[in-house]
Amino acid sequence: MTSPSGLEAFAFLSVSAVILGSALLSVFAKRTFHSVMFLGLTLAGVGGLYVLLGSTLIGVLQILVYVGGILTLFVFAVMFVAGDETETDDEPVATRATMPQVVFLGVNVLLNGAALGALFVPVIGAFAVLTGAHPQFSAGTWSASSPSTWFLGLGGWRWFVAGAMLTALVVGYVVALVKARWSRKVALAGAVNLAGLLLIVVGMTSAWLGAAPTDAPTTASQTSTLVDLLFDTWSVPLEVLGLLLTAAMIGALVIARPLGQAPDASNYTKPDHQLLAQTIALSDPKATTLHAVGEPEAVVTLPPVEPMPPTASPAEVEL
Amino acid sequence: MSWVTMLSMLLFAIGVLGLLLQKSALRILVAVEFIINAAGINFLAFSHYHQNGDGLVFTVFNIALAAAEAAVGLGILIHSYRHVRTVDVTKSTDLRW
Repeated sequence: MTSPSGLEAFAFLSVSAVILGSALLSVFAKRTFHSVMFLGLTLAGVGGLYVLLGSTLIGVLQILVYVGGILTLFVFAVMFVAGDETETDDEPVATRATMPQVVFLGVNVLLNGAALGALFVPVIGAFAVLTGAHPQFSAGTWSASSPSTWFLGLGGWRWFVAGAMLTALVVGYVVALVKARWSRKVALAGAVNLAGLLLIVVGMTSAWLGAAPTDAPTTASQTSTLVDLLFDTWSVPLEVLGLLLTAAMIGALVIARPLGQAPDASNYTKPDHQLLAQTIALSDPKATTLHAVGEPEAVVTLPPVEPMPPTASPAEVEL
Repeated sequence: MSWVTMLSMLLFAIGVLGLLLQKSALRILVAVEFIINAAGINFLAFSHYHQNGDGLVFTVFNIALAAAEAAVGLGILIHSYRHVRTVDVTKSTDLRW
């Protein structure tokens, strides 16, 4: 695999720091709800990584399904079993940060410090010259006086947008550092960080923020590629997946049914066997008298039915 | 060595670490989600490397399967919680030797 350019490396390292850091924090978090929240951050980070790998569609699908669906499921489960955890409710919220939290914050502050430093002229010059990231620097057309080239070629109002995002990142970290309750604000800082980094990554690799639109045409063809494969080559596994999801849904409903309820509870009526036998006996098609079901005394006599005249054979019918 | 597969391996390792270290069944399911996502990252990395669309399809399948597994796993968790009134896996020792 070819080694990525400086900008791609920076973006990938940022997103992977978010993913691994929040995974570690999720494993070592003191409270279960914090663990689930860091799971959400990890899943969103993986979505950002999918965007970085060129698949915006799968990245957004990941965030929609995982963060929007599965994380909600986990939150419901946590609310359901809350109070029976190993920690009690009257235990105070952790006010000291654990070592993984400190490491996570430190790495992310360093990375965002590098991104913020990219706003400044000397640092961005050295960064781009050393890594060869921006073509303007290699071509020697970068000019310190023009603000349109300050943030890696993003012009005009986009520069202010990118600067505002990075400022929000820094403000998020400052808030997290100043507040005493680390275990709540670290998650907030991580979310702000992830949001900012995702925006920067998407902006750097797409035409949205005015950078080189190398990936824009492939997004449209990527959807058609995925759809072509999903419904043509992989259509049978797709249908099997639908069956599997249906089975999983039914199974989860059956498993999580409240205890003490008979499987055929009062949701539907049981058949009355006496009435059923009566109905079958009274439904004889050869009978000439009609009885109402359940009221054998009420009798209606039908007039005798005359046999139908024989129909003409098809050969004799004139069309 | 590809950076993305290294990330996938590290995330898988963190998931296995969480799977083995946790006492709460809910947090074990959270660690299983990490493992599944690590596999998904691997799928997409190879799809990007070979420029093949099959990896995208399998990533979609991965997401759907993880959803089904999370739903059923949490259903089992809720059902067992009603019997033993705890999510601590070290307390469920009926079938142990």
